[in-house]
Amino acid sequence: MDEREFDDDLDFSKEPERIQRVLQYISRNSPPALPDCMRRMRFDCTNCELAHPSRCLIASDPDFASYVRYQIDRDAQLRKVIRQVIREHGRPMFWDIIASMVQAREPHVSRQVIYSILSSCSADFAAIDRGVYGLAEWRLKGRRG
Amino acid sequence: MTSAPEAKYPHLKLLDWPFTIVPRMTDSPVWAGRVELRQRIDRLLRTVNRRSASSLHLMWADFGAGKTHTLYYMNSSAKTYGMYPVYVEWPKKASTFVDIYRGIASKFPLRVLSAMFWAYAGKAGVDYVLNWASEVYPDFGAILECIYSGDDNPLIAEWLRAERSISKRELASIGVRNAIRTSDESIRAMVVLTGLVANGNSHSKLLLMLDEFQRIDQLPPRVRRDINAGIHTLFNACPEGLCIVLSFSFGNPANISFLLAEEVISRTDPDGIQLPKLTAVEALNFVRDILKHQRSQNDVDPFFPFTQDGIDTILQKTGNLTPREIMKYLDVVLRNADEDMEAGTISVVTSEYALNVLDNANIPRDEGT
Repeated sequence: MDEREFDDDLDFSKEPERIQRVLQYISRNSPPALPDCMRRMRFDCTNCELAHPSRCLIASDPDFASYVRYQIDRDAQLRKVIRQVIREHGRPMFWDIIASMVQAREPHVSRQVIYSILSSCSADFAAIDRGVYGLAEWRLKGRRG
Repeated sequence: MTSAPEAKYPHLKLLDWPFTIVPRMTDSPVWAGRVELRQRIDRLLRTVNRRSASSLHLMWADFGAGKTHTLYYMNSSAKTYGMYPVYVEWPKKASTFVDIYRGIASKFPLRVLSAMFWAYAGKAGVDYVLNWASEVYPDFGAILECIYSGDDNPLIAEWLRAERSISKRELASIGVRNAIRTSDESIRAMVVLTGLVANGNSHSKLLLMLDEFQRIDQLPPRVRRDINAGIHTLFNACPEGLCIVLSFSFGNPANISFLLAEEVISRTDPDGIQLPKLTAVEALNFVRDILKHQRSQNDVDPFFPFTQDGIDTILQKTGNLTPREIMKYLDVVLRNADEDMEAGTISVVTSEYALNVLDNANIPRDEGT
């Protein structure tokens, strides 16, 4: 018998955008906690604590699962570029400068997306002042932590 | 007849402690290693001094690569060329160009300003100088009139430094209407200062060195625009007599283009100054020159109290070959060896000794952040 406890507020059968947001949040803030379905095409729902397989759109719709995986991968790639830009610079910067540097390498990415990643991905980035972001690994004293 | 200075560390055959992590502003800073860079700096200063036209130069350095020390060297050398050097470190918090101006104005004590005024007035006539200053900035004209009349009210210096605390009544007492509050006012004040420096008899040019300019990268766009506009407006307003050096320290020199406005970049001298990390040979020469500068006697091995193997080992352990990192590692080893050599436990710092010290030391890496 399945004794897993699922969050009743999350109904993964009906809200594709919400599924994507939740998975993106996990990917940005604690990547090891991503469910198996975001790591491989053939996945196992046994240990998933996000949604019961019978109520999960990812488990029931392979196309949607593939789409979300693509979005998560793309987000991870972009985070990598942002990390690289900040590491090369070697010091924290105001977010709009980071955005310009990233756009010089990835012209199709919008500034809003870059800002959203900087401000919501605490595993990779840390705000040391209003609008000023550095790498979390630098462990600088700032607004977060 | 002057006697030879006494060695503070006779057992190390050194006059003084050779390694400092942060450079000191002195009248004659030591230049160690990197002969080509020094020649380039000297040539730049000579060229700048030979023509009256203003110029704007960018200096990029890797973290700890000796940018501030190089600016100190320029500061000292510029005096020998007859320029008036002003070294300003970027303020920790800058919200307008006025904050930069405050740092610059603090390098113009009243007696210096007064001497510059009299030098220019002696050449062009008092009326001409007062009229010129009043046209550029009427309040500065009033300040020069105070200086002309021999007034040494401390409010004059406070006004010049754009101090916020001066009341309207105090300003009126020196004939001034407003304190320097806006970027435009501070630029006009800079134009007068530049004119006073360049048109007097004692200085050919104002050499303005703005260190740590990379700190602009943490300011919001509005402030960056104001400061960039300040730089290029000042440059436009002073076609002659001004040399600005903006120095940056971060990992990728190409990033300068993201920090400066197009108007500023288009006015920069194409020959920028770059201070990358040292090569292994440069690092060895650097250490040799540092030790040579503090040498108390001549007939000594150039690397004493280290063996050359010892230096090689320390440089290998340093990894990141910048002057600051090299100084840090050498300093740790020599601090340990100092007492051992004085006590006679060891006669020289060998590779094994250095390795032993560094393996037990916890030296923070210079991340530059």
